[in-house]
Amino acid sequence: MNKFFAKSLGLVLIYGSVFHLVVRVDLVLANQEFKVTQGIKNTGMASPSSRKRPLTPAEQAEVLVDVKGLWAETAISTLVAKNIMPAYKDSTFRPNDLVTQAQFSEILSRAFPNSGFRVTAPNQKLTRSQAIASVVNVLNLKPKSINLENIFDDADKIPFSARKAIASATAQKLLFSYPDVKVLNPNESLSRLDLAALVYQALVIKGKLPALQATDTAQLYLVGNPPRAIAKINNSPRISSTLPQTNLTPPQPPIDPEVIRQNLRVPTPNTQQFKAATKSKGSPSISMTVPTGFGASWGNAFIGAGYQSATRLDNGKAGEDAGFSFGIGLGNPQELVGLEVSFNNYAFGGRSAVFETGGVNFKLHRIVAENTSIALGVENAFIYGGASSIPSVYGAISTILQLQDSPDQPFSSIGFTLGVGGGRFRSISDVNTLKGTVNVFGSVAVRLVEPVSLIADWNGQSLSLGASIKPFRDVPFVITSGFTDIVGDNTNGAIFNGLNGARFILGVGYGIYF
Amino acid sequence: MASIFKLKIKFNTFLALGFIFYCSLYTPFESQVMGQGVPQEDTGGSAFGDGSTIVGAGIPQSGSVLDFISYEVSLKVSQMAVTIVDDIKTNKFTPKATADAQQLILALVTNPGFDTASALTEKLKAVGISTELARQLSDRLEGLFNSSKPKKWQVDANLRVSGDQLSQAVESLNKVIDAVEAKALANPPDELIVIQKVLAQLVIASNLSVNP
Repeated sequence: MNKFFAKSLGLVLIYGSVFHLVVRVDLVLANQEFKVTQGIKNTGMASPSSRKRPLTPAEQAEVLVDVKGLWAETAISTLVAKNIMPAYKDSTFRPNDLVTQAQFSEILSRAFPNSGFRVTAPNQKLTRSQAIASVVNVLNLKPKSINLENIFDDADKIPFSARKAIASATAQKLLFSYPDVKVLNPNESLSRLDLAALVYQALVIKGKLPALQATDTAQLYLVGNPPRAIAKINNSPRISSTLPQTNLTPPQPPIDPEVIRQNLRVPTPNTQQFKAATKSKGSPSISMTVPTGFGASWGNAFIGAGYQSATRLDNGKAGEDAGFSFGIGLGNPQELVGLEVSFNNYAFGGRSAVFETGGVNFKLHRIVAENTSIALGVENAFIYGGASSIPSVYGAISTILQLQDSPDQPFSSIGFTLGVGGGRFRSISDVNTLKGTVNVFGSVAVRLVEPVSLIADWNGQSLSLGASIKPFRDVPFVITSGFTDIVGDNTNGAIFNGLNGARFILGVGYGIYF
Repeated sequence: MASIFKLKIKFNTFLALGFIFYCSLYTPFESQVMGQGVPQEDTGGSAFGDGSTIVGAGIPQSGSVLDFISYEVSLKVSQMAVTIVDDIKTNKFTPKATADAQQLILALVTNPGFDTASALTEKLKAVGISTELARQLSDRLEGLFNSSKPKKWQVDANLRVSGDQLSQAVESLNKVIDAVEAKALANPPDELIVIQKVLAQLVIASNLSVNP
């Protein structure tokens, strides 16, 4: 009766100097002789999943302690991973244990449901020839007329009742025989290792498992393999000393090169694309005068300095100006939220002393989709020293559209930012009349070549055009420069139209990653 | 369902309006505090944003990142790398190839260097593999076992395999296999056999960890 019951097991995992008591509940089949291993999995650290669940069959296959280096390692690991031949509780497979009829029936039914093997004496051991005949019957292989005496030196020991089946199995490349492919040992008892190899190859013939790779050691013991197929493996010094004789008759045709290629190809690893990393080591900016939806996260800090050829709307009374800033990121915008905290120093080197005036900015940001991030922030949340900047609350969303596969290709991406904010983002007239409105801002940036982006942005009052350059690939140093107030509320409608027109701006920044 | 949908719309609309209202309330207070109607004139205001804007903080460098599907998988693959290194060092690595071939690949994947990469490239070229493919495979194998920088909390393994680089190396190997001549396939160079086995074991480790 296939009835599940639960049992508890305490495992003590030693991790450094810390002891973790882990209680596991494993479900096993009540009438199943092979107990699924709970396994002590020494991964070096106790992962969350390893604390909460028993080892999967795939994990059991990895921790087997007595199959490594066996010629049938691939077959055993695969069948354990697929839960066709479960391992034992102590992470052993016990390849030399002999197989009873009941066990054979159970395993065969797992590999081939409705296989219909009839158990007459559950605890009786099977011979190799009996097992082969049963599997051939399950596979429904067509009879082949092969002179077994030309294949096996001990063909005369094959029971008459099994000769047709073994001939078919040989013709279909179902049989492994270790250590000598010319010695079948048909009347020896079937070991678990023998059974694993037999069932594995049967599943290959059925198309349910991939064929063994050409370089797999088991190819040495696959009955019917032409000598050429195993020539490369035979170069092994360890194996060559015990090379089986493989002068089979009749001679096999040459192996199709495409078959060899298929066996040599490696499947793709278990990977996937993840949302863009927030710790990219600097990149040309996607905006000049407006904040973006992206922000610094933990492990990322920055310093920057800025220059403008003239201050705004004062007709050059104050002349040119400069400032600097620095900040740090906290949190993780992929998992929850990132927080960027930065400080701006104003009028550095010109109209006031270092740190005489300044403001603090905050930005909460989260990556919401691939290459897309949203932010809610406050510029100049705290101001001191009579800075003429004003607090500005804003929300922004930014997205990067990949136009090419790689950033080293021209026009590889385009970035958009759209935001809504008060404070400095309002129109000039609203600022002058103290209207508490909000305004829209945004930017567009094209990655012209890998180190250069061209930027256009609208800060709610005026248009800015410029470029951002990351001159050194491995150095997170970025230069962003251009002209602002080109078109807009306070530009007098023309570029380079006096001090109240377009103004030159320059910023340099350096990212710090830890 | 329809009512829930409407509720969602209403809720989102409420949030948007609330945000705009919040921004609006905030502004006159600031302006009054500043005592002036003139908008900001300082660098940190209208000229451009702070250092974060300049350096493009958080802006994705290349769209998305290819990596193993979980930390557990990454750990399994790295543990397999440790096993491979041990097997080669203790002469247990199967299939057997010449010691020179094993040591060359071991040196390449663990200690990147011009000499080992060049040596492999020459070995592959000698059996008719094009210079471009041979060099690409060598480059992608170079430092494979140290290709992912461990996090501070990942103190349990010395070797780190990057999912991205492993994928690239596998892609290169398969290109080489597809390009190699049929007569060379029957007797592939030992270096190729070792590479194939190393990559296959890493890939198997990446798949065994998650599939039941």
